[in-house]
Amino acid sequence: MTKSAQDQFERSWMDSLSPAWFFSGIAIAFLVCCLLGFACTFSSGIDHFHRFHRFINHLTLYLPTANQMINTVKRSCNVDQIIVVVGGNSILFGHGETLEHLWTDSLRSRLGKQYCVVNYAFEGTFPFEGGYWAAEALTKQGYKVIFITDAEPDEVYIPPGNWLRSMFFNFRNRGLLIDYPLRNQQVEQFLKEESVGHHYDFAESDLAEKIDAYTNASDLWNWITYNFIGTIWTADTPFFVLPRRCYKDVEDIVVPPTDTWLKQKAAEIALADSFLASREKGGNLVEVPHSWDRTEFFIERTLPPIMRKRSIILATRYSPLVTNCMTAAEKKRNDAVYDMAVNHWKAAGCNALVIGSDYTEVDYIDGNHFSLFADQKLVDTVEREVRDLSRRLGYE
Amino acid sequence: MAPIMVLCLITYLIGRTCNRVLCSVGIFICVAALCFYKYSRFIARDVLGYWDPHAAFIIDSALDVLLPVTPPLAISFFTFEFVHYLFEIRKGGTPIKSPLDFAQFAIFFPSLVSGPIKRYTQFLPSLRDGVLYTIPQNIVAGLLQVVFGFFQKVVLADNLASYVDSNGGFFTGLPLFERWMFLVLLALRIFFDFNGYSDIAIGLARMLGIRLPPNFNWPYAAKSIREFWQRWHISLSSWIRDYIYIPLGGSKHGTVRKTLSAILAFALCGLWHGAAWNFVLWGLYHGFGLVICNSYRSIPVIRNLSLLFDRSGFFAWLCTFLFVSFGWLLFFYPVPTALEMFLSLFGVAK
Repeated sequence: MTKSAQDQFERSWMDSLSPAWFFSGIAIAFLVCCLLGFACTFSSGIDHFHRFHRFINHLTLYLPTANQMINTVKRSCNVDQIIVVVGGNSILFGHGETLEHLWTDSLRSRLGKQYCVVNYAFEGTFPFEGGYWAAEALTKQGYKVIFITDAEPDEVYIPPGNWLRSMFFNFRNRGLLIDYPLRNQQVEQFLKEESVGHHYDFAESDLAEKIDAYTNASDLWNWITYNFIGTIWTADTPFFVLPRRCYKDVEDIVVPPTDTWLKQKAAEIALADSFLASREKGGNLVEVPHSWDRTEFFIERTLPPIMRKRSIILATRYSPLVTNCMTAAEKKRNDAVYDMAVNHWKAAGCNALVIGSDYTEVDYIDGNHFSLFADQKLVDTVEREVRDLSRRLGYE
Repeated sequence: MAPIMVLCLITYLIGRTCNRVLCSVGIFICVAALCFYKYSRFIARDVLGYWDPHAAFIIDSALDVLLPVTPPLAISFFTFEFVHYLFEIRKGGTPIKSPLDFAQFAIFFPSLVSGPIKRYTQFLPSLRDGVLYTIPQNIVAGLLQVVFGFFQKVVLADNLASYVDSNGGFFTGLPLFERWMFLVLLALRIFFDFNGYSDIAIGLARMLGIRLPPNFNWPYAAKSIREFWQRWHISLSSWIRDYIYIPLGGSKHGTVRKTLSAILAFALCGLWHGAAWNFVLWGLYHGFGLVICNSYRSIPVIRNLSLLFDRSGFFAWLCTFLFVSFGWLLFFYPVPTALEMFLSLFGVAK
């Protein structure tokens, strides 16, 4: 470099750095981080795990990794136990429940030592996000698995999910999911459609997780953030440098639904139901032609047959506070829609049942989350279904 | 990018002519383009709309058809660099003959989006020498600067932005201590955000052996408003000085003209940041601050304070920091909200 060209830069301590050592240091540091990440893929499980509460889930920008979820199961369960993975959203998560009254802990006690129940529900997600992928990964690894989720009628989403799509690619790009050609084709099609429409969310998640499968950066970051120091501020974690293990699972604030909300919700449900079921001339309620095609399409492309056999879908009803805002005809149609949904799940090879048809207002803390009263009924029902499915699968 | 490419071509061709009149025309075209793409809606709705809402509505509807959804990326930075170039040619500077050199000056990717605003007389020699003679030492130094820039942006600024966005709406409901903490963190947020971007740009350029002008020099260590603007967004403040303040007369035509030039220059500086009244007011706020900074010793009413300001470095720093921090409320929030937040800092609730 010419003297004048180099002189244009102010002298600083960086001039004394040896480039060879610097770049060697970068390469070595990168390799060390990758190795540490790789080590974390074995040791990243969470001790004394109950559920992925607010401070260790996507709501506070902490996304558990695939390895973390699998390792947590391995820490909590023995290989010869029947693993009951509870997925779904805030309903089965136990929104509003404290740790002392968590329904999945009651289920674990009820089922006994032969079973191991893990609550892998994530608030605000679709039925086959989050916990489902862990259930599938464990099934692939040879564990005896039963998966439970909750779903409203016609609530099946695309295979990569929505809020947790990077988790899907985290599982997939590490080869942890069952190789299911129909789902692979669907995902590839989404990626292609996205690039045509110039939306690259899925493609970006896919690429990031492909790289992460080699570097294991997310496993390393999760381990550091859980155990040592956080790096991301959120409104719920204002002292963000605290490790996430210091944040305890606290009871959610339950907001009683207002009349306006109840009426709006009832109207929304009634409208959605009108697309799914119609009244024929005789007065019977029948399916609107092709209205359930999308449900069948996505069940087929999201769930491999082996997982459908192992899944129990709980079609959870809304509180009577909501359904009482409907007309009699709307209520009847709503009942019919739930039955239709269960029939479709069963036709696809899943186990399904309606939960909450005989529940009263005291069984709910708000529009759709269960109270402690409902938990007992839920545990009774789920215990029965799990044992029955275990026998049919030959686990017991 | 089409409007930018057209402006680029016009600027290059006019520059080649070395004609003073054409250079003035070129400057007018660049400024007109900036006003059209960035300020036409503001002028229609917030200026004309005050006087003649009907006419404003007609013009705004026409703009719906004429304007793209968003202004061309970085048009503010492009315009300033093109105006600088034509201004220098008009003064007798040597034009850039090679279209490739001009293109490299215009669309140098590290500084494309957020500056620093380059000067072609410094940039092009640096470009020629640097790219031909890139050395590992510069790659190391540049890379470290880029990493530091990313740290400021991703770890510091983004976290601070999350805090500010979460609490900004509830500012008046926060405890008094937390309101003041919010003010400080707001000031830090914009600094780390902007300085981070600048470090990334300057670091990338250095990796190519090219020197870009520094943009920040510990601005919150300033002990006066004048010193603050010598340390904050240096490339912008020097541009404002050279191409607005000095052409308006600078300090050579008496105190009144000097004061008016400073205030107008800062008002335009504020407007450059965004097409809204709060930005103009922010610019005026700093303009008046600079005027007071230059003349406080001769204001009898605040003589004691001015003595304290001169003698106590800490007091001078504190006054400057508070002045700048209060200004950020105007920068980030609509005027009524900023005023409410300012009053609530002193416990004056609405």
